[in-house]
Amino acid sequence: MKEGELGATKVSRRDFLKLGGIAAATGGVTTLGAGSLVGCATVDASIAEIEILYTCPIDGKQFASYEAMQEHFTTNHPEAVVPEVMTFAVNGTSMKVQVEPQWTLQETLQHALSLTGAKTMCDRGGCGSCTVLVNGVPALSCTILAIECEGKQIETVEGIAADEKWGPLFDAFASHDGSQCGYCSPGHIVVSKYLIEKFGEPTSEQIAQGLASNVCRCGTYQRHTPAIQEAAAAIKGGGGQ
Amino acid sequence: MTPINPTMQVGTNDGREDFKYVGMLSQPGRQSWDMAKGIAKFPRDMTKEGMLYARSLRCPYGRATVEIIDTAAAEALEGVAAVIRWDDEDLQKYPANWQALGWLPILSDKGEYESDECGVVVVARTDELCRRALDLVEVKWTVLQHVLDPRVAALEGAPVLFPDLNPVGNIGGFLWADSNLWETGNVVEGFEEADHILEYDYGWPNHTTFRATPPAYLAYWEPDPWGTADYGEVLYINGSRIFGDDGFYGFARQTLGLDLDHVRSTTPYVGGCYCNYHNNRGVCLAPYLSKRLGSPVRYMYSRRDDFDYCTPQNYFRQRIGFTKEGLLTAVQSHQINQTGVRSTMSLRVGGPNIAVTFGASGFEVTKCENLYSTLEQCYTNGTCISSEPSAKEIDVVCVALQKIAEELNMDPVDVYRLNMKENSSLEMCLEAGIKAFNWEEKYHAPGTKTLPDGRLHGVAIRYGDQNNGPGGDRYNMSLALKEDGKVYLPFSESFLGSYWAEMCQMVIAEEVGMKLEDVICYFSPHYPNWNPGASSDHAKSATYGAKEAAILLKNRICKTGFARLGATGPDEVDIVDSMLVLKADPTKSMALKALGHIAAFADDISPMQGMIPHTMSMAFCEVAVDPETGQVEVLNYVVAHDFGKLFRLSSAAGQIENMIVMCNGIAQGEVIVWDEDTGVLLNGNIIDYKVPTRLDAPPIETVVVESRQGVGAYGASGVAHAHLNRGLPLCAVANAIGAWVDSVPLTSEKVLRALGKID
Repeated sequence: MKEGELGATKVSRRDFLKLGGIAAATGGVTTLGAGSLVGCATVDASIAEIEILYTCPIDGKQFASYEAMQEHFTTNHPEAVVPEVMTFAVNGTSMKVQVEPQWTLQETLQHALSLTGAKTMCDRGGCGSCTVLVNGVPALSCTILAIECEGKQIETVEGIAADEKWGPLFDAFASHDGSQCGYCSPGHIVVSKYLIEKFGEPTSEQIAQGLASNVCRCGTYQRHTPAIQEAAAAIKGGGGQ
Repeated sequence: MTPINPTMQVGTNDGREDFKYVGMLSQPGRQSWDMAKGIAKFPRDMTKEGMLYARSLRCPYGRATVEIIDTAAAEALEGVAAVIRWDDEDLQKYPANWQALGWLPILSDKGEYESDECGVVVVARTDELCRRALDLVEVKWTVLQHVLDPRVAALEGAPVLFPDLNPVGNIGGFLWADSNLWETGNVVEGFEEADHILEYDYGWPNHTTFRATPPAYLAYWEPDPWGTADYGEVLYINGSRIFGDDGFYGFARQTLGLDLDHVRSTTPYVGGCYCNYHNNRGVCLAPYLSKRLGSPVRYMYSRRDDFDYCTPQNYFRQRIGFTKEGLLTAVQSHQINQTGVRSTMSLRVGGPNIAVTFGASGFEVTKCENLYSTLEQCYTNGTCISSEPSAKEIDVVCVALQKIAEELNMDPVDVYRLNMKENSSLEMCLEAGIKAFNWEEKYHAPGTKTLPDGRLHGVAIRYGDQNNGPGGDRYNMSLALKEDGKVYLPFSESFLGSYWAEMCQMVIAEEVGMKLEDVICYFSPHYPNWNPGASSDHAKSATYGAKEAAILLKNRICKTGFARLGATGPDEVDIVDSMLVLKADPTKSMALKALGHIAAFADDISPMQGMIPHTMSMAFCEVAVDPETGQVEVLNYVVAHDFGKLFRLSSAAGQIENMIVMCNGIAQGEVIVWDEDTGVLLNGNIIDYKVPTRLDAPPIETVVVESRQGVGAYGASGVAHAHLNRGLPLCAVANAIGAWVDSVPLTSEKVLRALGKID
């Protein structure tokens, strides 16, 4: 990989990783999400098939496994140091990812793993749009370096969406119009999942405090409390699977 | 309900009552799952194989010109694909375009506000490399005098900011503000009739209308998707088609000389749009660079880069005359308004403030006939300007009516009823709102009610109307019954949160006679037409067009199929639940899919709201003010809104909540701050600039009123623009403390000063 280069993944039909996300990393812009069809049944596209590539920073050649890149160095660049990779545990799947030390977790998820659910809005920990769960606790992925996350369990909105148990949460957000432009919605969902896990059936006050740092410029705030409480009740009652 | 509008429009058809879907349910938006799951692809999420990144140099001063620039080190950086200066020969081929660029070229040596894109653009393999390359560009700037405040720009002797536009001063602007004087009646006689005359100031600074997603224009060129010979390449670029060709990537089209059919949108998800008509230079530069370099190009912005969308500063000096009964007799207004940098229509170099109207013109909704208004619309540096339709005229009227009420110790509701022109919609909203808010119990004379916790209690009302923004939109609706028996509507408009596509789906289902699930509205990048749907006000136009297209399609379907049911003419058949049915014998029916492909096309301009009586709204607000600290808490809002015809309660109320939350933020704390000496923006981020969170958002109750007087299908009207109501909390604070704060935001300092507790 060239210095500072992002984008180390491509969509593959060979590997099947339950990472979440949608298969559009290098597939271009044709896949916009099922909801661009108004009136169609929702297609659950939350399971991604992602092949992680490893790129030689010297000659730019790409490899499907870290071991293959190591072998490449042994053969072609015996004097050079093989780039380090870190082990990421994202949405229940462990993988080796080639990252630059200055990359944030959000940048790494988006550009190295094609998981675009953690959004950049403020880029400095002020809006909550990039929220993911790190070891089960909400964390702002725009303010965490990826290298700090080695060995930690990371859960993104795509992972939550891929778990049918949380279907009622998405259904409730949809039925209450919890999104308008929709850009901040994944961050709200991630924190909502945490609140339901923590409190079971969170109160209005717990929801208000828990989501206090998630900004919605469209002002959808008062939709979220009934949506979360409705989802929590459904999940408690076995509405999820 | 008796139709009120005597002029029946094909799209409105406000007499229909037998609805199956419209107003009957709030089915979830189909895009909602995608947005919540992180599946929806916003511009920053989109990639394209072989994509390069681009960024521009940013002006570090309030106003400056590039004097010397050295790009050698940037060009030498590995991974940099191009470093293109403003004086590049090829770049200069593209003509200056007033509407898009304020008569500046696509890239200029002029930085006309701090963080303006100018001088050089770099293209590289990664965004990091772009930033690194820009750090290596050495620039010597000629720093020029800047002005941030239009009141300063208006002064005699102020630096002339744009001598090419106005060589002698800073008065600029266009459209409605070409002249600086507007009057009707005889204001001198009006003041002579008055028993009371009040003079006061009112105004507001800039607040930002940044979009949730920082822009990231991805542009690429591909052959015509239908393979038409000699058609040439088509430009794909993410953006909003709002206002069709007049906005957003229409400017790319104009700048690059493309016809409309050669520009395609790539995603409906654009991350909100709050009346910011403008786009960044990237919308022109990304396609240019993509064409020149033969690769997809993504032009990047940071949050800070995107923080200078602002609504304009407006400052009014108002003089009102009224009788002892509370009837307005004359209004005189002098307004100083900010155009933004170049008063253009679009890009960051400018700002149209296109809805500039005179401060007194808003009083045309009242019975007062003597109005006199002057306006100084001034160029400034510091920000580009988005628009705020309806805000100025509504706000100034509401402040005036509240001042009359307080001066005469009258109930503001009585002052409204006395002064507003007769309007059944307004009266319906007043009645509904008074009841829901419990106004008669809550209203009191100014400064006379203290809550148990020692805070001062206040209430106020504010009307809103839909005379701006809703209508006059071109629409282009192409419906098709396809071989699967379903009806399809392709569109290339954005999803901004109004759920306009769902509303069109309902209208088409109603008018054609389809089951709701058999109407498919789908985003089509390859569909170069547009539907003016994105905002709630424009959704009204979209439903108008959808209805027209649906009527045409139904007629064609019946004409094609009647003989198969043994009928002698199309009038003898109907479509019910997606089946063609013989009216005389409903047991005889057939599936529509047997009829094959039938299309209908509607292409026209929706009527302006001004053609018929305005639909109105009344907002009610309750505040508590701490007299010791000056802190204001807005306790709740109740909004009685005449939707004309309600389609979908959840999204209709959502539009109101959107505006109330945003405007409550503006009233209470949102303000852009520059360093006056350098012109540098000091709070261009979401930490230093206070964006309302859920803890700042008061409860908002929406009360539905339906007068069927709008210009959308079935008399539907728009929503959002009417609620740009920063003045409402200000009026409520006046009721609480018995004194007036003359501008928003309502800071503790201003409140304490109004209370006489600080100098």
